[in-house]
Amino acid sequence: MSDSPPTDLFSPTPRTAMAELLDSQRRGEVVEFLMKAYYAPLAAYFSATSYRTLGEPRDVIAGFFASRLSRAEWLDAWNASGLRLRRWLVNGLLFYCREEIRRQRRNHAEVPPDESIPASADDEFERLYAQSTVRQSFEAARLHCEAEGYARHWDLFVRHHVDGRTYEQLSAEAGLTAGQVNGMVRTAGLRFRKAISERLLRDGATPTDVDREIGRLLESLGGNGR
Amino acid sequence: MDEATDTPGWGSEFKQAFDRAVSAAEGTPLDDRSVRRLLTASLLQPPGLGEQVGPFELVESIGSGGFGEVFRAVQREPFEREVAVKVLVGIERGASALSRFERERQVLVRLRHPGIVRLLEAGITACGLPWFAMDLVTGRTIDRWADESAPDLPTRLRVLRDLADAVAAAHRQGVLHRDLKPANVLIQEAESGPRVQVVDFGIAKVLDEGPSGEATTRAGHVIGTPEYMSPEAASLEADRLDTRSDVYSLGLVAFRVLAGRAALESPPGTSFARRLQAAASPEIPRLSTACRQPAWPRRLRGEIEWVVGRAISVDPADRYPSAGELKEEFDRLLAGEPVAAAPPSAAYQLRAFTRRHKAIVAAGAFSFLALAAATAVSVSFAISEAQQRSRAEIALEGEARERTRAEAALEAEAKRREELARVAAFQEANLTTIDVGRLGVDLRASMLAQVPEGDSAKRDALDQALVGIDFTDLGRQMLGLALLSEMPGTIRDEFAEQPVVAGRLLQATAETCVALGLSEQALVAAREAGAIFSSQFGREHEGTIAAATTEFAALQQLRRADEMAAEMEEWWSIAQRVLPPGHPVRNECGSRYASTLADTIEGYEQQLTIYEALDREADEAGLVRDLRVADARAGSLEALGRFEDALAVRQAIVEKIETGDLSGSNEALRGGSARFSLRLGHVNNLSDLGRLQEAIERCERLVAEATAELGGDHPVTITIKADYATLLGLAGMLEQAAEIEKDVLATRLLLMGERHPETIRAMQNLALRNRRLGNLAASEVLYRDAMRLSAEVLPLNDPQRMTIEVNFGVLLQSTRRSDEALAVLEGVYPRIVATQGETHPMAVSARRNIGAVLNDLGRFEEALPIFEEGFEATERNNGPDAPTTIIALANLGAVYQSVGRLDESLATLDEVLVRARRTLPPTHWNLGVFLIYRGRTLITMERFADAVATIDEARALLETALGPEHPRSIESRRGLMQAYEAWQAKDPSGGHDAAVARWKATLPSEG
Repeated sequence: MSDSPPTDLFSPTPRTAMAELLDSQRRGEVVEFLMKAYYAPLAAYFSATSYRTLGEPRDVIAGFFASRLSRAEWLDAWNASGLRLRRWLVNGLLFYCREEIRRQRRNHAEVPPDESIPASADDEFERLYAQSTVRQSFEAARLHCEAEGYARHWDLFVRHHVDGRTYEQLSAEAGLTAGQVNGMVRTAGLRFRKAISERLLRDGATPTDVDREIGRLLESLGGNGR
Repeated sequence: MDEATDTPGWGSEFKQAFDRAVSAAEGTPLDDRSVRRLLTASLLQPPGLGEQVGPFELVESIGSGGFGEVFRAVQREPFEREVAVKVLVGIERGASALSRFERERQVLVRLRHPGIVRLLEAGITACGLPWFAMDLVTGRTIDRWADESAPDLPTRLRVLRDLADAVAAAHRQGVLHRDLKPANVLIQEAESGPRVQVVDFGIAKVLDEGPSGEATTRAGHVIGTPEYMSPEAASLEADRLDTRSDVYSLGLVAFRVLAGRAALESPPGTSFARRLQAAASPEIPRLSTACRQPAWPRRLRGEIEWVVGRAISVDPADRYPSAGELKEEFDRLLAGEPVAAAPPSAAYQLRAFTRRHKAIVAAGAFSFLALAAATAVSVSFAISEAQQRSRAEIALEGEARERTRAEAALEAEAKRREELARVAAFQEANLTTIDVGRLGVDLRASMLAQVPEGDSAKRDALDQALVGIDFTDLGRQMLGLALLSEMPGTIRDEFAEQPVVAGRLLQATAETCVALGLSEQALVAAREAGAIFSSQFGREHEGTIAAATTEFAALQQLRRADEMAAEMEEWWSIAQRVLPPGHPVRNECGSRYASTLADTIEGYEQQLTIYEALDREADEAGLVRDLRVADARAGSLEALGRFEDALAVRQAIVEKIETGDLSGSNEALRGGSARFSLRLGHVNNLSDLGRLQEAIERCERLVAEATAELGGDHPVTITIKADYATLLGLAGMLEQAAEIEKDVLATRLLLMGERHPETIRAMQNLALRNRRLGNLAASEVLYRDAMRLSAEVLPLNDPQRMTIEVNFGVLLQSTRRSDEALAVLEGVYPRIVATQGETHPMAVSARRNIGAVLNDLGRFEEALPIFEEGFEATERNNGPDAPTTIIALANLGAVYQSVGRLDESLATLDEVLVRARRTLPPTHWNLGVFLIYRGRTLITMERFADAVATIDEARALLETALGPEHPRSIESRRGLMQAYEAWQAKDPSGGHDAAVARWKATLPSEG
């Protein structure tokens, strides 16, 4: 993974830009971004369905990505669908799995029944998607902070939000006032917020949907948002 | 799978990217707790730029704090507007929180006040962050404004008053702010001055309140800034928060704005908990001590410090119950009224002050008795109030209920405030009702009363010795020395901590001194009052304007008006801008400014414009017209020759006074002598219009009333008597007039001494009367005295002095010393023109007299244009039937005769007689003079029979009116002799010799 901050791939309109980028010289970057964002949740989703007998999740997902992401028109179709990208990907994966079944049946292979998808698969997908999104945003924000000279801010942000240190504790430890700590944590937090927002926007959320989307992610983690 | 890897361009590149994605996914995962925390952290950050909140797109971050971020945002549809959007973080979320927020939002949206930033819309983001859209206010926070603009103290007080007013409006609607601090108070610079805008009203409550309404404050999430928190808020006692908590924060904001530093300051690095602790048990320095403005501590000490101190009392029960009460205190500070926050010792100080006055007054004896008695009443009032309070306090001791105690405290404060106001008003009232005229009369009487009753010789000797002493002035001096000169120092000492009260009392002292003619003392007191008001409130304040006006009045008395005349225009401009129409100080300032306008026709016109504006303003404001302004307006109308208009104005004044319909600014007239002066103006107005008989009747009544009410020796009574004499003189009752004028002069000499301008005026009047009575020698003695004294006492171009010179010239002319007369008149005329303008009545009169002298000297051609101009100007100024106009017309007729324009002469003199008979009593001696003029013209026309008949009519009239030995009577007989001589010369056979001899025999031997 590169240590340079990610360039802003998808502004200003993530949906159309995504399809256009797949036809551009930066196709590789887009594909890698999508795979990093969605591999784990798709793999988890796949594992939770009856299609899991089709093969190793890693192989199936790799095949899925290869069959779909190689075609810009597939993302054009997503753009027209109005669905979130992750839902489009899940649907695509399901179609891909059915295609695989049909192909294996033609080859008389043992295939799993084409049954309904348990709710738990969706839950797991969302949980992993939240995980993935947060982890990628976390990393992107770290890089941004370091590039902007806010490494210390990021450190305080992590110690406060991840490690649970209070402002007063951090204030004493860092030799800063609580107000300063608060301000520094907020500075890094804004970058983290921005990173998450970017990912949600790339997934197809509108700017007004971002908070709602985060709320959904929190729900997927079993949290109450507090 | 192969299909994918076979896709062109997707070979190794794809595989490598996919492997990296898998590695990343398989790396050390964040645990769910951490992910949840991070997601929550991302939710706790407000949305970013370009994002949409409700209908608003966030454009720019313009500020952020611990509980949210503020954005400049735009709404595109249905119309484009810019707003400020504040997104709150750290709030409880969930259904109940949302419903609470919705309730609060409805309250806040209804909150409307010019000083509160409007809440336009509010909502909750999808993830539950409340946001508020407000008017986008550009301005500086109040602390930055105070530091950077360095406004003066009154401006700061006005801003704090407006701030308290805004908060009070919210309190009335049941909304607390709970986070008042400089950052939440913005100041916009408007044309009308700084404008307060309070932001974030009620938002703290939305942030702070838990599901059941209880506070959910917790370490690190306490709502508010410790440095501006009330002790109860800092102690996390949310259930104790009420309006008084906001009052406390307002007090701390006021402290910051006035002192230039926060009341509570924490060293850098101080923990939040320690700052909270400091706020819970605050140790706040005195405002005046903490103040960073070098010149301000003295100005802050006292009332301002008390007000702020009370607002930031640690115990809420000791604070103002609401922001409204604090606003009223700021109002009182700005108006110079006593504040409720005076410490308990203030009442004592006031009582001490009144007691000291009592002592001073007692030492002054006589007229001060009234003041002393009234002061005693005041002291008694104050003590009684104190006793009542004490009893109330004892009675309340047994009562535990805090509410009752709070009510009692409020009541006591109201009483204290009332006491301060009443005592100050009492002192002002006492000062302004001192009658120095009465004082002079009583002073002389009391001195004579010291002589034992039986010792008439000693009494007569003392009486004689006292002649020439100006007792009015002596009384004035004693008053000045005994009381008024002490007053400023006493006021300074006793009210050192209440500068505004001190200012008011000094101003009252200054006004009193002006009224008494103690001009030097007035000047000192007015300047000191002005300095206090100016430092407390700036130039644009009622008190400052009043003090400047009084200072100018004192300078006018000292005949040093030119030191400040130019400045008065500016004061008048300020008064118009700052004071409401009809305000007494505005009226006084306008009147004084008008008096600075040049004593010319143009000046009178400008004066009139101002007076008319003041009257109109009073009408428009629904106020009673100020009768003194009306009187001044009538004076301007008179000066412009608009006697009918002046009379209408004065008629209205008299009706008000005679019916006792005095209210508003005229209330002060009720007990004083000024109402007699105003009525006298009406009388003189009637006279000017030729309604002489009516004027005399009214003036006679006025003399009687003033004598009964003010005393026969009172200066105002004497002035009325002098004018009464003038009226009698105009009516031809010269002897009666002279008797009264002798009495007036004697009284003036007795009470004021010879060097007083009024005494000189009395001398001048009697001199004129003597001249008219034919007592030319006596007249000349008086005129020479008046000339000498006026030269010593009055400036060269003083109108009174110049009038004396003109009249002296006329006397010289009357005694046939025409060359001497011409020298005097030609000496004074250019000075009159230079200072009054050539159309001024005095200039017209002087020029007419120069014409008469030229006529006497036989320089008729030079005289004629002067007489023509003189008549036209007089008629224009005074109207056709005014006595001076008729005299001017008669003089013109006489000159026509001198230059041989006989038909014009006769026609003119006939017109004179028509007008004179219309306006003068049938026995008026002036008719005789006019008949002589006509007779002379008839002689020149050789209409001898008509001439003899006309001059004989004059003789009969003059001998009746003035007596046979009066020069004018003699003149008439000489006229008859001359008529017969001319007739005889023309008709030697006519046998007129005998008549010549007969009339010649009636003439004095030297004639």
